Amino acid sequence: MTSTAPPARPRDDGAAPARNTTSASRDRSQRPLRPVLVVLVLGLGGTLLLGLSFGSARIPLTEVWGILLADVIPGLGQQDVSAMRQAIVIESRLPRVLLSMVVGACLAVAGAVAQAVTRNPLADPYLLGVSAGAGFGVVTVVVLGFGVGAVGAYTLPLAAFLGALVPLLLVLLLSGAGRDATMLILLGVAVGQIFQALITFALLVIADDHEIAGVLHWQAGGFGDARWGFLPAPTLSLVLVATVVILGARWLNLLQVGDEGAGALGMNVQRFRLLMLVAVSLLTGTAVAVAGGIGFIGLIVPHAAVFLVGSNARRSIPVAALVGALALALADLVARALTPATEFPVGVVTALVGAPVFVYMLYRRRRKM
Amino acid sequence: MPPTPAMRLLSPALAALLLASACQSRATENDADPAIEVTSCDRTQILDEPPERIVSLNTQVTETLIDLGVDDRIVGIGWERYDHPEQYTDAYSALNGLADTHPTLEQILEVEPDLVIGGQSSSFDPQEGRSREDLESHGIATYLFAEGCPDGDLELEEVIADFERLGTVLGIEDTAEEFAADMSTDLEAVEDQLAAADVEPVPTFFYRSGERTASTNNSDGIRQMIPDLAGTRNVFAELDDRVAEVSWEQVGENDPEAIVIFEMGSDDGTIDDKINFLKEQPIAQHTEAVQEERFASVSLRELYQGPRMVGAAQRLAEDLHPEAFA
Repeated sequence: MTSTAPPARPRDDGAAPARNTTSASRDRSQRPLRPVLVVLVLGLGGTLLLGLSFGSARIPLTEVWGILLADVIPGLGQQDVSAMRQAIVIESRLPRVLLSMVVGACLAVAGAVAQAVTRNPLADPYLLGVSAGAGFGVVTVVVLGFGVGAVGAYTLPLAAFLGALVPLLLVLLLSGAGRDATMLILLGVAVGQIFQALITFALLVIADDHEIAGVLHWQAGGFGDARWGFLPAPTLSLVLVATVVILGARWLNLLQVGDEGAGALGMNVQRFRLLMLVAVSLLTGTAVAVAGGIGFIGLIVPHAAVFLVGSNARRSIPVAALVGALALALADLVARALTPATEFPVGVVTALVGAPVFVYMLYRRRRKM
Repeated sequence: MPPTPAMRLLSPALAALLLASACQSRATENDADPAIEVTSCDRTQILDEPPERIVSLNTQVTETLIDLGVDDRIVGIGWERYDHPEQYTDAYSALNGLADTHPTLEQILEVEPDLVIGGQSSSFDPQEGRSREDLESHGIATYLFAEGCPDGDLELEEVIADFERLGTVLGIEDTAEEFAADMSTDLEAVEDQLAAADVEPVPTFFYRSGERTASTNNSDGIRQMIPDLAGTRNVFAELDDRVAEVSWEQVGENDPEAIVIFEMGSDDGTIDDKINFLKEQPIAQHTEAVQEERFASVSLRELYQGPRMVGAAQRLAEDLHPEAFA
């Protein structure tokens, strides 16, 4: 994860003394970054503990701690717990909380980058049709029966990931490797619609009730099948993309002045944008593969990050990653706590909680304008 | 004769009138060919004579009709392309398939049936324009298997009685009675054999499908009747919904000693795929059932009200309690 705190630097060095200005956004970009990061990391720690402690099986807290202690320091902690409960805590809950954090961070960073390179506050990680493509990958397995069980529990994630790449490649091919940004996004929307139509067709015409339920479940998103094996791919892509993005934060900031301005300053805007959108799709593809279609994190968290620390990408992207991790892990906690016997789709939680928060943020901003 | 619009409007009233006077008319007029009055799932139909043109909406209905020897009266079936069990493939090949799933109202009307038989409540889905009322308004009688009645819970006796009732509708009382009696005898034999070996019902997890969560059944309805008879106890019997998603943590906490895997008739994986999944699922792999590899499988279609129930009961009992059949 992106835990290295980048130096706190004001967005525009040498601008008018920020302390005297009344602009809220400028205040935020002057706000020291470290306390924000500390609070977020502490929040993640707390959420990890909560996520390990609660689930649909009621395991007494002392037992959970005993299991964890025994796992960290062999010989210590509770020794007489059943293998079952040990598996629930160590093999299921622990990777689950970590996975929800990694996926949350992936989606938030992807959303932040997508919004920056398109200069569109409504852009989300799925803008190049990744979500619909991944959904179609799942449909080919669940409904059409291609490659069922080929790689066991990894079949659906793999199908989703491969499916996610198809619209991306199509869009890049059709747009002439992304020379025109608007063209790229419009193609993304169009290709996404085609795959969505194919999904609807497969569900309504070919699938039976049971298969429809399976695909809808996947689309609603969730971490009920989390395991250690799901963690490496999204973690790797997160580390890779986050590093590239933070190193390239200067260019992301530069894009805020517009394509022409950035070009005049010597930047290859088209190539940079293409690289960033490919990065977004890879990030989203790995996230969608293990978690299904989770909405709203990628749309709303980047705005929350800007709200917290201002719009300098060097500050807002790491904060977005941490806020995304925290938000999705908490949403998954709610999803598990809401209905003890079963799992509530986490995508429903993120939308139900995320949308009102989004509205509130917009309302606050309007009042300040 | 196709019903005129006026007849269609009148027919509900007419039916009520007929119903009210049915006993009376039979007694007073001394009709040589009395009307058949039959009530299935709270809807009463009056037939002048045993139906000769039947549409069967579901596979278990079709298979029942084949076993009853009236498949020559079938003019159309739904779910035509399912993998049919071997003993029925010949009979199926002679039948007129209307649709891969449920036929539409138009497809049904086209073959001009006088009786449409459904196996489940979804067979007569009003949203697809195929409700019993819709069909009856076209002058077509309907019969719904006891399994499809809204009130759900079923005892074996009711199922047996339902087959006998179907025999009355079709005018083959004796054949149907024999069919029902054989089924009853065979199922009781399974029960008796388990009882003779002092078999306790084994705590069982019924796994339909699902990776993120596990789809399972509660113990309502006919789906549980056969497995229970074969010596299982559903660990999720008390769930509110007939089909519900449970978390793997819940599966682990209930620690089932056996797992019955449903073959859903879908493309989402074979029994072996599902067993392999359970063996590597972080929590499920630690259940006693998976550790001891005490698996059995059953097709959802075998548990529907139909002749395949018998084979399913025998197989489940033998797979889960081999000691009783040694």
